[in-house]
Amino acid sequence: MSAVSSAPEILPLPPFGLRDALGRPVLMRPAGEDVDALVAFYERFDPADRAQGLPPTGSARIRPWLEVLAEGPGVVAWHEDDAVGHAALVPDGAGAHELVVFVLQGFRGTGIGTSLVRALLGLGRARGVIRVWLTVQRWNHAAIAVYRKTGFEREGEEGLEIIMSRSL
Amino acid sequence: MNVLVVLEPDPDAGAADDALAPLDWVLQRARRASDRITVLLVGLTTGAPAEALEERSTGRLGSWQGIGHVRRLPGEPRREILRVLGHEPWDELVVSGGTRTPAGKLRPGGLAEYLLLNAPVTLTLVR
Repeated sequence: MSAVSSAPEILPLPPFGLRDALGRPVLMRPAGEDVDALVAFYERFDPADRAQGLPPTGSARIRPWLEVLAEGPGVVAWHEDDAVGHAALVPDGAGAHELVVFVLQGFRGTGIGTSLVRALLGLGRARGVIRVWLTVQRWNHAAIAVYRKTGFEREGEEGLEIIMSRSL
Repeated sequence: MNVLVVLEPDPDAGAADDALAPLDWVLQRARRASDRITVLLVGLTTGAPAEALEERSTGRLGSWQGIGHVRRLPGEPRREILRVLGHEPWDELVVSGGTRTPAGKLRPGGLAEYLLLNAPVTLTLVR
């Protein structure tokens, strides 16, 4: 008899809808023709919520940066007509992808970040992404909790940052 | 102001303009302020990348007669830079703010981060 293999991890494939912890309807959709909405989303970001130099400030810097993010799969979280979260996998030129995720202040701590990362991993897997890594500041416990919940493991440290990764 | 600029040759990039960014930043400001500039080349201080960087930094300073000079600082950069900082009074230390990840996150880099925590002088990270 063959060994019992563990069931493959089920990752949701966007588009799909859900409700956040406060009951607000949120729609996860693959990123595409929504650049203006994303620029507006990043312009609403409180500078105090920036981490590791991101997101860039001002549309003149946000637009070229979004073009870089668009080189890989991305997912946008929508509430009504507004983007409230965005996550992307950027090819690193070495066969893996770097993950970044941003959630608007008013939607943090409501499970949206976790859902967004899971949706992005599902989309990434469907598009052939194999390995995903990220860097996070050591003291960013909320983000680290999201990454642990979504299957990332600590791979190493670089000064004040932690590197985490997982396979798809 | 007595300004110490730290430049690190990048073995992959030769003397790319990125490596000169801290010096260019200081020189731009020097148009308004009367800074005295010392450039330290640290890390890989021998070989083609270091020579190219020294030549280009000296060239940059060349048009600013008497404003400063370039020196190679062999040895372990962290220890040697702190030693130089202890030898004479400096007003400011200027270093590169480090590299970015593919998605654009800042990576402060070992040296910049170390100096941020340990240098007993005002530190400017140039991005």
